[in-house]
Amino acid sequence: MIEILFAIMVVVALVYVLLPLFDEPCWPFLKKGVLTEVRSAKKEGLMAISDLDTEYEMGKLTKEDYVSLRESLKREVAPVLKKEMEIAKQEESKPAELPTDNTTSDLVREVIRICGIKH
Amino acid sequence: MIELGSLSLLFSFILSLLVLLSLFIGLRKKDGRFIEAAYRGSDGVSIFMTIASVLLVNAFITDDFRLEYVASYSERALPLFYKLTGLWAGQQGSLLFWGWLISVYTFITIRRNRKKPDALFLPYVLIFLNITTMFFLVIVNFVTPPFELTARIPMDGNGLNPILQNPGMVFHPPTLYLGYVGLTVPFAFAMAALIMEDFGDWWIKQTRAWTLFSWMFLTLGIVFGGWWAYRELGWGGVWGWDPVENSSILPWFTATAFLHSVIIQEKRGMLKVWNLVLIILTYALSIFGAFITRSGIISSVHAFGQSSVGYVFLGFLVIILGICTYYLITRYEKLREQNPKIESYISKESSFLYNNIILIALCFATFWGTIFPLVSEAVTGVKISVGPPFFNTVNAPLFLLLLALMALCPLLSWRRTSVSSTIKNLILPSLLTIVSLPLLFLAGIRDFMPVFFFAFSVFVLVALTREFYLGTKAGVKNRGLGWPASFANMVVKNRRRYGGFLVHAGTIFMVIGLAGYGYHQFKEDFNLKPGQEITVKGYKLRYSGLQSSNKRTYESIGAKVEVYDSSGFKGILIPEKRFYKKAEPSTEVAIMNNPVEDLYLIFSGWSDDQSISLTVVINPLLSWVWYGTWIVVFGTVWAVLPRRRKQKQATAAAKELLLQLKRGTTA
Repeated sequence: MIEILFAIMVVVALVYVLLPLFDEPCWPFLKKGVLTEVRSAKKEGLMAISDLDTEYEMGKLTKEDYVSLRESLKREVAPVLKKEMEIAKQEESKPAELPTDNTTSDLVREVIRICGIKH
Repeated sequence: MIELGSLSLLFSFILSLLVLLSLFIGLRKKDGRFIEAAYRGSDGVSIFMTIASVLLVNAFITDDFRLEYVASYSERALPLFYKLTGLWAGQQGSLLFWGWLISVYTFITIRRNRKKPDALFLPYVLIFLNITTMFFLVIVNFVTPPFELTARIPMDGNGLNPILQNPGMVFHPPTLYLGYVGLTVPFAFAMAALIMEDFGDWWIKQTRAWTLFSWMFLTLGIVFGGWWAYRELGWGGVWGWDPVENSSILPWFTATAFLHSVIIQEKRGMLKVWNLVLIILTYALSIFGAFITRSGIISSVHAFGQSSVGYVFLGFLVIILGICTYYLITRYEKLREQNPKIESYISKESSFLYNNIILIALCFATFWGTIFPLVSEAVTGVKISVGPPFFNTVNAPLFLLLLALMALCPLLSWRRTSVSSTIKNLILPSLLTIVSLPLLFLAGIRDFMPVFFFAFSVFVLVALTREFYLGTKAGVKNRGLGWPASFANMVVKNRRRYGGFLVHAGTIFMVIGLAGYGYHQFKEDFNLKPGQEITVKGYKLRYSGLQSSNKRTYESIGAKVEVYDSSGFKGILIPEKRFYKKAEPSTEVAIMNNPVEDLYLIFSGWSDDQSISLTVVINPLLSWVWYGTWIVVFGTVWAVLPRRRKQKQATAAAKELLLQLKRGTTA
């Protein structure tokens, strides 16, 4: 009885595992877009400025320190913002940025699976 | 059903081999079908390992003594409570439990990421999670199988070791394993980043919750172990620097260093190599801990006994370290690119770096002390044991430095802080610390080390309280909020920061508790006749006689002691001698605790006229360790809870910058 039960479980498991091999070949991964990386750098830079603002508001920095640190942070973030604007302009005609929310990413994945990005 | 258990484990092993093969083919051929099959195979591994684990627990519940493992660790009269813990009571079951946890964590990791279109990291992550699961499957299938049958089926089992019949058995092993296993996930992500040569902070962000929760469980596991050891005579108290205890704290040191240094990578893009090394070390040290605990190579009261399993762990450790070293060396040049330098030695990132150095020094000192008996035996032929004096002498000053940094770090800013700002921020905590010194002296704390521990604790607590105060005040001043609203707004919107501060506060509570317990313990032996009273450190203790009881698995003789203090009757303590039907007798202590101290009674023996030998121990401030632990847990959960960051403030900064860009006023 146990042997039969186990055999059924094994067969079900193997069918479940091997089933995808009978689909069309596809490669379901997209590369990270440059814009995603630039936006991530922008977010980090802006968060650093807001952290600095918070510390100044708390009175932990002298005005002199605050102004000089904020200027240097701004100098670092400014080119990132410029780059983002340039890429965004260039990519206006291209397909949209990688979606980040789950519903959209499910859709994209499904489209890739159905249409297949064949290698 | 027993056969189903062993067959499930065997099939899990075969599936895990298929998973690995499928991953290699899928990545090599860039064929997503094989990757999908690997994900599904991994689901299968966790399902079949779950079946095996449930069947083993079921064997304990149904007293199935055909199994060698159940017969060795259970008996019919054992309470259900302890039968359920049988899964991790011994070598075989605990290894199955460990492997099962990894398979479940793998299942969760895949579920959370498999639908992300940019999750190319996932197959690589799965390789390392699967290799770890496979390793445990090799052990439970071929080295120490939990479903092995006995040659002769006994009528009843041997019973669980009395020392293991303690609530600590329920909480200590699972929390410790949850910590070890959880840290496998960030390790696997780090290896994926290393192989893919994608050295951004994505893997740190992806595993932040895993890392923090695993660290929390590791902390809880260590503290539960201390709580348990405190209640068992002969286990060296809360912390005895025993090799097995040390092997649990080694990965804790590196994991704590990792927790801090990843913040620098997230904020400043620094320490990429260092973070990878730290998480690899953490993983390796948890495997090393298993080697120490399970090989019996170094004698310990907590070890599983001598076994060849430990050497299998050692072999696995060597292989894993070899793979990691290969990838680190081959990627080193790329890793060093775009690694910004620290701007100033007085900055938050520098203080994190110093914290890392101290934690690694603590780790190294503890590691060295732990393996020294092996080194001395290899070199001189004589096994020299290293005891608590070595660890206390070497580690206590390092812990003090760590405390100082805990106070200093919140006062510093990222990038650089001027000396004048630092001095200004240090004035209040330093003044209050100086004020605390005479108070500590008046409280009777006069030895060098405890004075420093308590004074530095005051320093940290003042610095942390000041952070909360300044943050709230800024909200009141700049946003026009009331004090309670400003406080709530601050701690809700900056969960990570204030959660971290709470963890630090909890740690300080633990330090205070351990300093009180370690440096100011009082102990005295008494011989008492029935009705006799003694006065000890403000307590009046009256011994009223012996009492006996008969339980399912043991009989006991207890000494009834009434406890009074200046406020009157406090309760009755009954320390016991237990005589188990199937094990050696044991001594059970009785404890009465309050925030100031624990009254701890040990019943050493009795004579025919009912007079007894009683040891009275006063452990000051020990409860603070347990309170601090819960603060640490709360702080960690608070820091990990999903949060809406200071998006508004960041958006304002973005608008300001964009405006300047348009005007061309920014460089």
